[in-house]
Amino acid sequence: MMKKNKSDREDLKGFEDFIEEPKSSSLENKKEVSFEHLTFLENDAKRLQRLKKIHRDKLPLMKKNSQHELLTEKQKSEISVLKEMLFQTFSQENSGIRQNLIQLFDVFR
Amino acid sequence: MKLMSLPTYQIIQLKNSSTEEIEKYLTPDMNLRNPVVFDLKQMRPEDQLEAVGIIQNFFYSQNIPHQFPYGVYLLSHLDKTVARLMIVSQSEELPSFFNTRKSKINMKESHLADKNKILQQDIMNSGLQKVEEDLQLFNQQHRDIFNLEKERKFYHQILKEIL
Repeated sequence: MMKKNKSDREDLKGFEDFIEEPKSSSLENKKEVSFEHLTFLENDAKRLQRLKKIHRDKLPLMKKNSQHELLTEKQKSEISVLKEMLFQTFSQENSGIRQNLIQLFDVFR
Repeated sequence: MKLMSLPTYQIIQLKNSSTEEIEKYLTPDMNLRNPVVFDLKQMRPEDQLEAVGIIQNFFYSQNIPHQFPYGVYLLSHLDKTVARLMIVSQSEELPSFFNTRKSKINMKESHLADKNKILQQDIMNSGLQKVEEDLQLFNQQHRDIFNLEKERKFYHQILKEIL
């Protein structure tokens, strides 16, 4: 059967432009639209359920167990340590930034 | 039995910025069953700005949620930052999820739409004002963490390069 189909197609090579593909019937189109609507409504139901879950369960839980303060405290303390290290490095006699500033000010002497 | 309709975009074409004209369309449950788009593009920019003000004032002065269960969008040439409502310049920017072919729905789909109606009402009754406040707080907290992390990485990078 497969062989026959293949040979049929080979016989029609070059004549494809003259052959009209059978158009799908309006009944099939209608079924397709209907299926599309059903899927759309099912997806919307999932979306609404997720929204409900976020509003009812997730948001209160996140509010109750917020990690915001803990994280920002940690970040702030790390930032202050890094700043301290940077100032110490920059204030050294032979630091690059200090040398550059000396050169810059020397120009205006 | 009345068949339900699909929750696709309800597009409202506004032609002028008169309060009476706009208020005809503004109801507290306008976005309960479907997303709503106010098309302001046919108006002059100054009228668009006025219309945006009226619509925004309706939602914020009465604490009416404009994001849930479905969104209220404004189709306008104005900058997105002029309002707290969602502004899009082209209809292609609207969430594609709700772009579906409009046609009558059958009994089976109507039953499903009926079930969704309960979910929509459930969301509407879940204290949306509080939800919106919580979401804003949550957003702000995430922005704080992001900014602090950006600063931390910046100092870290400098130290890494000079040491």
